[in-house]
Amino acid sequence: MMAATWATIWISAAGIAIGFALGVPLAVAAQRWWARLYISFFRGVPLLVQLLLAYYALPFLGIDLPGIVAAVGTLGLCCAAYMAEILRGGFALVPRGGLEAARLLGLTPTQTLLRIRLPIAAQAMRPALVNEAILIIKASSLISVVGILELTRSAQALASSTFEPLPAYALCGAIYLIINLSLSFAARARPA
Amino acid sequence: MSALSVRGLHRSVGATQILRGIDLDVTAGEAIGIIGPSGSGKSSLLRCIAGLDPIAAGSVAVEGRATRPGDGAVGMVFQQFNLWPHLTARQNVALALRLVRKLPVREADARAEAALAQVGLAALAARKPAALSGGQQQRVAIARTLAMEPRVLLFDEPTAALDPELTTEVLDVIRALAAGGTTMLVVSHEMGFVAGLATRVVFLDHGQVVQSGPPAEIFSQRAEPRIQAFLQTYLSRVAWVQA
Repeated sequence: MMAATWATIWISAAGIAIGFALGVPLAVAAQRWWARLYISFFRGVPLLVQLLLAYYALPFLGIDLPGIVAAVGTLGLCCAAYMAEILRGGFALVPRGGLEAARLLGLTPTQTLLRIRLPIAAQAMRPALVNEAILIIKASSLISVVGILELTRSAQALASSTFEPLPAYALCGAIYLIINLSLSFAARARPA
Repeated sequence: MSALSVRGLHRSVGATQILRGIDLDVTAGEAIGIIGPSGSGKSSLLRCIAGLDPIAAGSVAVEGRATRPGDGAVGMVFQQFNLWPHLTARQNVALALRLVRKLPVREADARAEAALAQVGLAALAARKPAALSGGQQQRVAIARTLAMEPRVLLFDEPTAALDPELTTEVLDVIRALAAGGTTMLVVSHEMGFVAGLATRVVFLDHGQVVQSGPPAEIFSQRAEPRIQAFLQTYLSRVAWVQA
């Protein structure tokens, strides 16, 4: 179960990291048709269905992904859609004057995005971003359908092999709780 | 060659003409005061010179070259300071030195400290804008602009967002810069300050230069009637009881 806990943690972390990295350009391009389409799809289709599509349906198109790639990839792509919407709201809060100052001082649009817009937006939206990260950690329990042994799957295995579901699932729930509480505590402790 | 040359500058928003043919030549070291009623186009003129607003016709050149935003020719200090709230005073000043001038961190920080010292804020370099007074924030903004050594410095109502007791510290900094030979254009409603600072005062109304001349000429009975009427509204607001 220890190994499965680490699997849940690193797979979620990778998914969140991918989600944030893709969410930034998506948020910048939020008005473009392809960004709208992307966000609509990944927010509108259940994550479980997305996982099933990635792992069981893509091979019929000749794309055969290993379970771990399908799992991390789908979590990341789905997370990106939500991150993009959160950051889009954050970008709207960045005062225009600060951007004009950056432009006059000679910062490039990319430098302005990474050094000015993103930090201000992420700071303002921190509670929503942490919330999304927690949702991803919990949603990672779904990746057992692509054959990954993560926390929930290992609890099921433990419960069925010992015939004692109570300690197995209680422990499983407690571990999720500890992970998520640590995350929100760390986010709150970080100086503003 | 003039430090700044503005020729036939027009700017419109929709059908509204904001600037209607502005001509202005500024020699290096001059401090130009720009005054005029609200909506006369003072801020628009600065924003067009900086390249922040598009111009409909005419040209802007600094030392003979056309400018574009970010080329370092023009620096601007805004009414609302426009500091970056997530960075300390030092980081606000050092960021462009690092990213645009490509200075190493150590040197960028040293120059930022020097610029902050120049505006009297060396001791507060580690503070974020939220922990500074309005006057201090504006001085950081001035330091941030100065550190990039622009050829021409624009001040767009630099004290309009400040409480009266905080304006003095900002005006003192601008005066010191003018005395040091910085070429500048200052839009301000602080008439006494403009009269004392400017080598030349430009009065703008409805997007046109009504009159331009030394302060002694503009702030006098010899000025155009429109200017005298405008200045009268200021005089009527001064509480001054003779003993």
